[in-house]
Amino acid sequence: MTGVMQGHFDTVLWVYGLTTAGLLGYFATLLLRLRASKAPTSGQTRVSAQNPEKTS
Amino acid sequence: MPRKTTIIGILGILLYIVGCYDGLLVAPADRFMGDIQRIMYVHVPCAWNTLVCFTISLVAALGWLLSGARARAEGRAWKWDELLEATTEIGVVLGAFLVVQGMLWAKPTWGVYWTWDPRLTTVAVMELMFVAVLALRGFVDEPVRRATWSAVVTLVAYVNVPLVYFSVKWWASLHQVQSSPSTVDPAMVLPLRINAFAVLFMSIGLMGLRTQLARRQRQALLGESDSDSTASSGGAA
Repeated sequence: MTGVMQGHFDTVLWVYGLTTAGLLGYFATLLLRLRASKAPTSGQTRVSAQNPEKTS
Repeated sequence: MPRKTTIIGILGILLYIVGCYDGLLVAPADRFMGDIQRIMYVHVPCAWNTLVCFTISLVAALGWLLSGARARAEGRAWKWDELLEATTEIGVVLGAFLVVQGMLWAKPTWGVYWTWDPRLTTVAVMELMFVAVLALRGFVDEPVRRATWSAVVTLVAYVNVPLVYFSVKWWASLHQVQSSPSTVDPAMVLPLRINAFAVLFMSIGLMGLRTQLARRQRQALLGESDSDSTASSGGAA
């Protein structure tokens, strides 16, 4: 017995897989939350661009 | 879409692919721990960047608290609050990865998933305290009050961050001392360094998106436009 740990490559793959899935999951959640958050003034911005005199 | 942060985020993803390939298949196995040590190439970058995120939260908290009445009235101070919300949330996410990775590494090496070791305990306290910052933000609707209170709680929560870093030096700990290019074999430095920058760059990309989300949510709450982010509530400070 040399004291060297054998195996466990499957555990390593689990860790890498979970980390990658977590990062992707958080990224996807952020995109969905951004999509759901309606920019309140996108319409106003367009109006202002077409009618500069109305821009405050 | 903030372009600079998006480009940096994409660069981070590419680096992460290279770093994981290098860490899994190219770097040599550790002499004693064997393949399980390869967890270091994702665990340590997550640890470093968790601390980086919380440090940016501290800077943002100070930025908000030290911003003058004029900066708040003109809406310029909101960038600090948006940054605090973004970096705290990303730090908590990375911190959760850190804990799970550490537990999966601990089981085969220490024989248990969790033990109340100084490093593990201080990390758990740090994670919970920054979760508390996010929870506080969820409870307070009034934006100025929310920004001020969460900035103060962030200052309190940050006190634990140096304890996390020095815990392995100050107290007898099962956890090894900090892994860095100066403490690991040169053959293991490259994937560690690549993934450190990969997670940093991905975090910057996520910060760009998360600050944008925080801005939109505040504007929706206050009924403001982008050009009009002078915080109607800024005057209420």
